[in-house]
Amino acid sequence: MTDTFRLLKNKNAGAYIYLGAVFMIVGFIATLACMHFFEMYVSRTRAQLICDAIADGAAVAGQSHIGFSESRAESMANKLFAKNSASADADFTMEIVDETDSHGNPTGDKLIKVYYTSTRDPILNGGLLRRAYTVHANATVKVKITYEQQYVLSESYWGNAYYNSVPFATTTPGNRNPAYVSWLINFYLNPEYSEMYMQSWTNALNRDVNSFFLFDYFRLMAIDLGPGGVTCHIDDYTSLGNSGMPGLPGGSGLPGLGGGTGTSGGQTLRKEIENNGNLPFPGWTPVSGAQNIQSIANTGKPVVIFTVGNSQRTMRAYVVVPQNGNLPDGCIAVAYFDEQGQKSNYEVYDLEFALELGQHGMGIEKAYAFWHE
Amino acid sequence: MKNLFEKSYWKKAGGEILSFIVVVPCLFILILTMISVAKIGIEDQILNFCTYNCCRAAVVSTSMTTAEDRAVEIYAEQYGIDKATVISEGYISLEIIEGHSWEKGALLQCTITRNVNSLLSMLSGQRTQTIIMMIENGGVI
Repeated sequence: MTDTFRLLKNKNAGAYIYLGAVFMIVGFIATLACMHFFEMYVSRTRAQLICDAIADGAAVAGQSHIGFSESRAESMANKLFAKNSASADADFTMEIVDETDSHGNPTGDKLIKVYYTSTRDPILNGGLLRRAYTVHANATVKVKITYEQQYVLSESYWGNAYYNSVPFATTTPGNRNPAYVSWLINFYLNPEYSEMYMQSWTNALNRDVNSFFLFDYFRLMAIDLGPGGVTCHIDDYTSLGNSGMPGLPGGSGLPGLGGGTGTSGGQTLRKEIENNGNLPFPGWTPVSGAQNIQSIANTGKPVVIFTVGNSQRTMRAYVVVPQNGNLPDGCIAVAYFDEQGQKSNYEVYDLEFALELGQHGMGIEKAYAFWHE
Repeated sequence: MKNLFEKSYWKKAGGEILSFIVVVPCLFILILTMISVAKIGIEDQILNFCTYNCCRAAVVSTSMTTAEDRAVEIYAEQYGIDKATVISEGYISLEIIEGHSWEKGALLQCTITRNVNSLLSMLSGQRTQTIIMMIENGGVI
């Protein structure tokens, strides 16, 4: 070292090269540090995204008709973590807690928190720059228990073709079979991507799918039931659901429906149900407390249930089918159609899920049931 | 200027110039390397987010066809490439790795690739990011 300083003092060229070499080594180390920094930066981002993927998957997997299933959520979370994380040093934990409002009251929703941790050396394992770092990344996802996946229907359901594809669908009075008239209609999804769904529906089919089906169902029922039909009653109702849903554009097979998009205009079906407890189609009467919904449906009479969510204020409609099998008390049966219009298997719903009033941790605020003679 | 041709001039301090000439390219390469590393890191970051967004849009789709269309659209918009090129070059790959068909609960793997050009050829090349998510929309009634 003393020689070096002496050489520097004498301005020997070799000293500068010597210094240059030292500087290069320092620069090399600085480069490695820079790589390490960016590696950590990217790893943290990836950890955050994996957290999001795990939380989203757990949230949806845990949803069910009768409440959030934590075991299913955890199972899906474990599976997603195992697939996404290749590092043996990574680990994650998940918390599922009840969401509370500003007053500390439970809202009925769940919060999922995922914590992803990783300790690893990104560059030199056991070498000069050995470092171990811990990455904590968490993602919180709101789970709306009442949300379910929507379905997309084929074009054959639209317009006049619709009437030909569904077995019961004729306009001849009396020629209907309520056992086939069963759909589970979902109106809303996780608000994180509900807009995407609505947009895709609007783009693909140029109308509000859910409202169309419900209206169509009642229109058909109205045509079949009662002398002279009652199609004019549908004309007054331009939208269904909360104010965020677009109105129905007029189209073939649905004369008189209002058009345009945006918030509801004029009287709405939902308002009539909620404010007046009335389903404004002829022949429909509210189910009284003493009546058993499934028993009514089992006689072949159409029965429909409208539920209103307590958080997003979404409205859902269930059509009850006759079910003569052994159902647990307080349960109703709903059948599904596939895209070809073929009836699938039945699903059983806990009636309390649909008819509970107030907040019982299920997201349902109110429910209205109607039946038709 | 005249001194440049004098031998005594080089004897006095010419060594410094020589050493400087030797060291500067090395310094330059080091700086380039650091900038390239930074660029690769930023590109990886963007690729991570793009992969996530593509997969997110895919898993909420109702079918594989719709999922691929959406993923291609997101990638094309992110990188300013036309969709036909994205499809033809195979920059996006969607694969159901668990499950038999497009159904809720199946796992979808989204792999995104992109050619990244850094300042150094040894750091340039194809970068790949993969993420796996659960299909949330089975697309059935």
